[in-house]
Amino acid sequence: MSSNDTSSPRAATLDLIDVSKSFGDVDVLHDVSFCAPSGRVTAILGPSGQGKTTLLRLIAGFDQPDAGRILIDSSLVSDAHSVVPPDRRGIGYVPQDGALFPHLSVERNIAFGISAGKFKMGHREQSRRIEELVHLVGLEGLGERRPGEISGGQRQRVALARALAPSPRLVLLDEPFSALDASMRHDISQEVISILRRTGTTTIMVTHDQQEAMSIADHVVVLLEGRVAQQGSPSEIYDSPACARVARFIGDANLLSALAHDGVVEHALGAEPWSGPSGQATILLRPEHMVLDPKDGSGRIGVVEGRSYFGHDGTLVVRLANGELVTLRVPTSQLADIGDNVRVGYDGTMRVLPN
Amino acid sequence: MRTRDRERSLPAALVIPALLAALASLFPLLYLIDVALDRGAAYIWDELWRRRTFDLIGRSVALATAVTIASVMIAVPSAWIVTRTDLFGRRVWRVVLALPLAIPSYLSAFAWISWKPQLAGFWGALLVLTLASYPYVYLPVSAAFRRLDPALDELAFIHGRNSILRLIALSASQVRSSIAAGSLLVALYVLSDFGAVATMRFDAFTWVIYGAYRAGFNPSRAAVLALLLVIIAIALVAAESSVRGRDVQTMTTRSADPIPRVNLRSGGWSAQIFLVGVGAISLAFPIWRVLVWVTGSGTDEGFRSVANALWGSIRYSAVAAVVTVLVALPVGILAGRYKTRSATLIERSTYVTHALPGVVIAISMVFIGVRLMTPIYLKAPLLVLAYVALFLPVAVGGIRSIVSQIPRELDDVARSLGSTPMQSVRRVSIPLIAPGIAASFALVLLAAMKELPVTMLLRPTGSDTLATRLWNFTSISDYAGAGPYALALIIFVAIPTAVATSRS
Repeated sequence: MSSNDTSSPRAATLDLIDVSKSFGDVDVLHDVSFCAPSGRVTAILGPSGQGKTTLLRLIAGFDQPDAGRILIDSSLVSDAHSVVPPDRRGIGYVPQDGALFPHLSVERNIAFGISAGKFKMGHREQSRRIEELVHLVGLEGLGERRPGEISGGQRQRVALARALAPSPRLVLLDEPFSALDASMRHDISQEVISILRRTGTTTIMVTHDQQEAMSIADHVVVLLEGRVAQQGSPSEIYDSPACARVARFIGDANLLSALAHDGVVEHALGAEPWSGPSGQATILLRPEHMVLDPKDGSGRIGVVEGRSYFGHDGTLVVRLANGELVTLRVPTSQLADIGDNVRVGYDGTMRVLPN
Repeated sequence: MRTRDRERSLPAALVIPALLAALASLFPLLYLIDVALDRGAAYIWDELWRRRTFDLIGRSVALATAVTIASVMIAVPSAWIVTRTDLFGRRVWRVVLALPLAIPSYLSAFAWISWKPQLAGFWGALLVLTLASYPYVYLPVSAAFRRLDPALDELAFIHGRNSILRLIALSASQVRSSIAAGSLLVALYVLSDFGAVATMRFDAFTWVIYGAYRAGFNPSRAAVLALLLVIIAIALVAAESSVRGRDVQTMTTRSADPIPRVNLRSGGWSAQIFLVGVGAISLAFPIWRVLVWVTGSGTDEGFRSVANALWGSIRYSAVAAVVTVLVALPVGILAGRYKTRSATLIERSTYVTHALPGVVIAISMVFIGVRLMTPIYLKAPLLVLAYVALFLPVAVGGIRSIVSQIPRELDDVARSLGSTPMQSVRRVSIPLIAPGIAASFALVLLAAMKELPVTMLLRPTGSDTLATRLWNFTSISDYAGAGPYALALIIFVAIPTAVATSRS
């Protein structure tokens, strides 16, 4: 793939303000607000069936919100009263399986948006643009093929090139890599995102795969049950989840019950100073911050109940004296056997979550 | 996914014509009720509560039952042989066994009765209808066998159940609902068929209804019997759609694997003889008879009158096919694209005629023509309307299935790429459904060309079609005269129908 630039005229900022949508009696989205920064990749992350695709369809203008506003570059495109139709938004859309037009060749698919309609270009300009895009997504020599004659990864790249052809202000990707084999998924997702970054297009990607979101996006919006549970950079969300559900959804998490009182928070593995309110609380300890047999002699005794070997490292599941289970990520040299008594501590990195 | 469809409001540009189509297809039925009530509600009861009505029901049910049993006996073993065994030539047989569908039932009935006039009556009707309708069981059962877990046969071998008949019985027990659905279609076909029972002079529903209309012109009796037949037919259709597709849950997910086939060994010969027998009596025999008529004693029927009749068939059928497809388009698009309750309701109401036998449509259109539309009675427009009413379900089904295969995302993508809704229809939807429209057109055209009762009762005065000419000659046993028309039907209707259906 080339390094030459196929830049968008200007990348847009997207704002959603208190957007709600329901179908019949089912509330799908509830007061969703977030801002997708210009020229960046924003991932909308959440389990399946929690309104992610609906959100994307509202942004694209296929559906209308029941309440709230959607703004592109600070100008209103959707609210409960009016909708700018999708063909006048200048938003590129890449659906889940690519959805290439089966009756058109790869080249005619890419040309669809610029050969007719609002973004029509002159003949010469058109062929220059197609050539540029075929080159950008690395599909040289496949222009005459039909969608049925190319691989899943190639189809995904054609869909991307087709969406980019009219130089959209914003590109929406709906679970773009979920249909691909696990083996090629990582490479193709990196490749596609690097193309989008190179063109400087504002990108909104919907995914249920937290690893994909964390490794690709600049900004992550966690959508749980139709509400924004948290948004921020991947590391903010991983290190400081807003609640137990987010913590559990993003990565492996040990959630231990705790009691906060008199400036400390006490839990099964010890106590930490705490300046928040008193009462029941939950603490989050990531498995990689757990320590087996800490050298300083801290920690508590537990019994190993599970053991997984991954080669580069492994995990132990330990039942603590109070009955809670914790998972530790440890070097393989430390993988104890099931039934062993071990001492479990942590490296001081923990987080108190509101109950 | 389903929740998303709910909020899409149906476009008026589709709903209004679709609604009109639905109302128009219900009209013949409603009018039939009106005619039945001509002599008051008491007359209906009177007519139903008669010995001859019970006899009629008894005869029709006996025929339908016998044909259904015979069809299952032919279809299930045939389907099993071509789908589950290593029989030599099974790919050819798979197609050949479905071909009898293309031959009009009255044509094969003429072939048999011209050869053995003693066949007239129950046995002749049983023979002809079995040969014409066993594909309704053969096709769904073949499809079900193809999805059946091959481990079943392997298991049977391990347990030593390796006699062919026992293997067939074992496989058949796994696809019971496909057999049931096919059987109900056969029963529906038998009750709706006019050509075979008319030729065999067997007093089944359709022939008696025709007689009530023809002989005494007793409209109320014809209408009452037609309504009774409609009720039975609708019950069969309802039963069919409730059992259809039930086998699917029990099927394997290994369908991608090639099915390990049962090695017939010495049984191959008996299987081959069985299939040759089925093909010979259902296909080869009628064609051979037609050739005998044509090459036999001379006839006065010149090339000119055959060409005239052919032109008559094509002319009315082609107009009917165009109109049917145009009327079916909004209904099919609505039903395929928007799976809302109202869209389904509209589609279902056009399906009512699917249960209506041709003879019922024919006489209700006669009533409408005589009483409401006198200016077009026995003129081309009424014939075309009757064809449209009769074949609308065929076209709606074809268009709906192709529309529902087009992913909705394609329209979304087109819109996001700057196409207006109309541009998207023109650039995406139409190119994708065009083949389906063409196929629906061809199916309606061919079905109308071989249609008999509607054509017979409503054809414009002084004009002829292949089917009506053939009927006229055979009703006076002039087989030499019928020959050229029968041959033309085979060449211009049966063969194209076979090609069109084996492709889709």
